[in-house]
Amino acid sequence: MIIQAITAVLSPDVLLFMTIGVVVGALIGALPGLSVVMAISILTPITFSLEPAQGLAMLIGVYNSGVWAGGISAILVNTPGTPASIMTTLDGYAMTKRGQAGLALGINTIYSVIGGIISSIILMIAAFPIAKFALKFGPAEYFALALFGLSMIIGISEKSIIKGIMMGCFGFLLATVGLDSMYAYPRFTMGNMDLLQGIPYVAVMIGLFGFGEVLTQIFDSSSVLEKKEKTKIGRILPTWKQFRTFAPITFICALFSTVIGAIPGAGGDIASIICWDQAKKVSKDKENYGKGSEEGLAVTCVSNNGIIGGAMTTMMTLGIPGDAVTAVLIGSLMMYGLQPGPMMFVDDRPFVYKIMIMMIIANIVILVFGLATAKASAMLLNFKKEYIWIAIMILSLVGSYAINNSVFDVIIMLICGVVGFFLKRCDFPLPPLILGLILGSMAESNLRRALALSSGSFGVFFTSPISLVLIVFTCAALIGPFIMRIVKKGKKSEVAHEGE
Amino acid sequence: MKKRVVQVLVAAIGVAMLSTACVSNSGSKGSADSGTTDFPNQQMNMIVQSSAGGLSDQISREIADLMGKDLGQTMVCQYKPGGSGAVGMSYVQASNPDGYTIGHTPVEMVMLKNLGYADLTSDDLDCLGRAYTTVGALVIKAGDDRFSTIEEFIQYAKDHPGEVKIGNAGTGSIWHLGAIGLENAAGVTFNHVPFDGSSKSIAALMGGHVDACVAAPIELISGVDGKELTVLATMGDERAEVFSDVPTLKESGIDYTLIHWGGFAAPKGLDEAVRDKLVDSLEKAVNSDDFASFLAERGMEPAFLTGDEYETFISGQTDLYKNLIDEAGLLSK
Repeated sequence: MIIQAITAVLSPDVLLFMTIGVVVGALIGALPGLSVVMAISILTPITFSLEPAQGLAMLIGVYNSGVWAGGISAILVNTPGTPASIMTTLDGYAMTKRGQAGLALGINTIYSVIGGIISSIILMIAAFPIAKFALKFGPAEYFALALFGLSMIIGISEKSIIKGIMMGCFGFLLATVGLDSMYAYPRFTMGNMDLLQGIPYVAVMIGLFGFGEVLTQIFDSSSVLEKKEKTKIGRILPTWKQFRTFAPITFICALFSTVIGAIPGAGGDIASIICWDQAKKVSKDKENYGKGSEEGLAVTCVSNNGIIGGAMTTMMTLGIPGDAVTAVLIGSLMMYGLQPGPMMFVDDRPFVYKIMIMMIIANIVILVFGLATAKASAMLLNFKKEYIWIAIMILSLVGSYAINNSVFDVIIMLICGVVGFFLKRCDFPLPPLILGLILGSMAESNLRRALALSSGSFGVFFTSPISLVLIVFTCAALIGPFIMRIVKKGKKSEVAHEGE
Repeated sequence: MKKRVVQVLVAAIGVAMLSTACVSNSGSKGSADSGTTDFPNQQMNMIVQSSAGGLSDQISREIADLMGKDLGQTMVCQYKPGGSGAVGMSYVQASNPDGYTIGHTPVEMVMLKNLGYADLTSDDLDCLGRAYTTVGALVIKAGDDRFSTIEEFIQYAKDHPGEVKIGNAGTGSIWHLGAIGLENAAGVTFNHVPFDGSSKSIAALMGGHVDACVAAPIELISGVDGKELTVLATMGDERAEVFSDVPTLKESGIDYTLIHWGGFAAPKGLDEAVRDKLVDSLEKAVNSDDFASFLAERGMEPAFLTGDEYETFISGQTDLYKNLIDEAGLLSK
């Protein structure tokens, strides 16, 4: 049956539509604000005129490639194309500044594909056990997971942990705006209709990283007049030695993010945040994480795309969306007359195999397409700076408008751009802000939900094994650096001055 | 010096783009009321009160498709999620009543004002017609050893007041209020736990984090087929077609019905001829075979209602939910 599925998927028409999907996904993923969710919801009706296999090939192509391409703009212009690629900006953009844009794009492509393929294979062999595990995540476990994610504010705080924590708290505060998630009470909305839905974090992200980055660059270039030299692109492929060094850590991250992806509501942003921070702790290269480490970049890329298999697992085995994209995909599958859920593995087994094979083929198409276009994409950097600024400004405006077709989001984006500019001037790190914003509402609502379930007893966070383990990890993450610093201080006292 | 000039240019272009963006947005509202006889002669907008991908989106898109074909224009879906639909429906209310903007108005329309999300009632919109209904269903995890029928469930809830954890799609959502209504009708007390949407509450049910959920059949079909979930009762007047072997609450001696419904509305002040055209087109779309089979797959039924009948229905629903919202302590003053 698998052979049949492979031959069916490898037919020229299916491959053609998949390639179209990959190209469309690459464009949409690379443009900040245009999301994969949006692309799939718009494309679904168009695919009805096609055979289900062709249509689904296109959608799977868009899904995988959109997540991968989010890293391209993160690497080239420090603006994450999708929220999941927020972590890619850290090492990716640093590599571009160092003149290794080509290698960064190459790593993004190769490791996104590796993450995608590993998670697809896991989907094939362990769909049901993983889905069952994902269901164990109740409110207490979600809270512990969010807490664990938040603990990495320390890891991405760049120079000053205090400033990082301030930014994290600021993000947390922003996350409280809107209808409160438990009792639907409007908070800090000041009577504004648009604020009821909360501060749209994609608009914040585009503002801080896109618009704000342009403002920063304009400001910097007027104070430091440097002669324009061609940005080096460098080679694309990592060396075999690098590949071997990254192998164990990226493989573990792929497994881990598949599981994260399977948990409903936890997606690529959380997976890459956690993986990057954990990888940093165990890596030999930890000094360079955040300053252009190839390994750090590989880890975020692998985890980004690694969640796809997980999200598909939950959707296909339980009929519950693992993330926003699979929520839309459920609708698309139903339009094709399929009912995602346990019975799909019985009633439509051939189609299930086709989906799995398509996931793998889509990643291979991305690999070819991504490596072939890497040089061309990196060339974009050789345009005059002014053109790039204008392009990013336009994209930021269009992208923030496109999230919901609303001018309100554009205003938020502009405000955040200006705020981001000043924060950056004062050396406040921006990623913790986004982290607080994304994880803040997850932490808050699940804390309150867990307490509602336990009638107010905090015991639930410690009686559940998953939550207990996560909380222990969080404590270790918080206390660990502190102890390390004391140990280091004992060894040589000048280290403390460096951290200033 | 030259560098300066370029920088100023860049900034100027940025400002210019912004102002055009704002102007073009307000501009589109003012135009297009020239000549109603050839309505519609340009692209139409369907305002969806949720984000892309959900059930509201699927239904709105299907109707937009069918109406667009009938009227000979494309109807584009725009998403205005937030505040239980308050954002989207208020947007429809504030749009130009030229017939080119209509919006999806699910049951939440009659709750918004009482919940305090928006100063908006059905009177502020021109309600064209109702399109569909779907019943509420009470569902538990399959193989729960404490109860396997609705009678056992109610008995258990009576013996353990306030202990049965009922997941819902969010505070003030129809499924939350629906569960409160069930409490009243059956004389029990639940522990209501709001989740961020139905699918999350059902995942929590499958994982054993809550004891039961009230949800729409569409959310449950795959779980029931896969023997992960058991539906104890549906809440319509008659049995639901998708779960035909499951009794209604009424059959089980609990006098309570809960149906989710939705329709479409335009801003107030439509030209009579334009309104007739829209209602007519909506009726055709709702009564089409395409829509019937589309809904049947999702455990819902087409239920067209317009004019006085629809108004009576809406006012009945408004009162019902006002009482439930009051009961839940959510009534805004």
